[in-house]
Amino acid sequence: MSGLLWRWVDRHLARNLPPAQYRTTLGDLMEDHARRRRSHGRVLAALWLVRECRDVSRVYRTGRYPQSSQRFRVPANVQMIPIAVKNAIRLLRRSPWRTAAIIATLSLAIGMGTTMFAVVDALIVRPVPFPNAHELLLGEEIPPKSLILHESPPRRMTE
Amino acid sequence: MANVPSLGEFEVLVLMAVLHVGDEAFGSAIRDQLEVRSGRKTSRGAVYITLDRLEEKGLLQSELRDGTSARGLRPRRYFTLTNEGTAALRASLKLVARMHRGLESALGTLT
Repeated sequence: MSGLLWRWVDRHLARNLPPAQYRTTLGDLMEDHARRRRSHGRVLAALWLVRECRDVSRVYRTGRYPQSSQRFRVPANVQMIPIAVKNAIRLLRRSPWRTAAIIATLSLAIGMGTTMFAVVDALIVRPVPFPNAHELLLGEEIPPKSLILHESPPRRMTE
Repeated sequence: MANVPSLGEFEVLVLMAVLHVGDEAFGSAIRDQLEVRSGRKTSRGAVYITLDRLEEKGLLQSELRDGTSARGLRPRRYFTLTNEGTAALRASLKLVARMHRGLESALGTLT
């Protein structure tokens, strides 16, 4: 993971920065990343590294500073997710009977849906589990000739 | 005075950060100093490209020194102010001070 990440950073900087700045910037990023990894952990440090690398590359590529509004920010509606989850948990805990009813309804609905799908899948969607299933025929008893009103060709199992 | 280049606000801040850091003024240290003293987030790219531009203008000079193993032996680029840089910085600060004179009642003192 770390090797892949650094290969990406290396390629990204080499493509966007002048050769004189490329090596010193990469060195600075390596030092700062090691420090950040100790203080923030591996995942956050990796995210930080990607953001820094993209920021430096963009400035050198466009020659413009990013305004604070152009830098990456978590969108407001995504920021609301943890708050909404917390509120939902509070509401559910406040009325346990309603919560139980909701969970039971959802469980039944999901269970029924899954069962129906499994049955339809096994009987209709998938071919019957025999070799050359398309050649299977449905056998029917032939009634006495006097009772035959019309003749029909044999029906296939898979129709 | 007429030959001293005028500086933008960010250029002034970067030059002052270089002076604050002193002998160990390389990219990351300058940026950290800038963030700590100005109290605002600063883009790494903005600092680096400003350092390049100030060097092109002859206000800064840089020197490559060998890197440590922590940075994969990649060199560090250390910056120092040239005489022109010091003069330009002084002129910019004086200009602000002159403009501020007479506005103490509206803006208060600068320190």
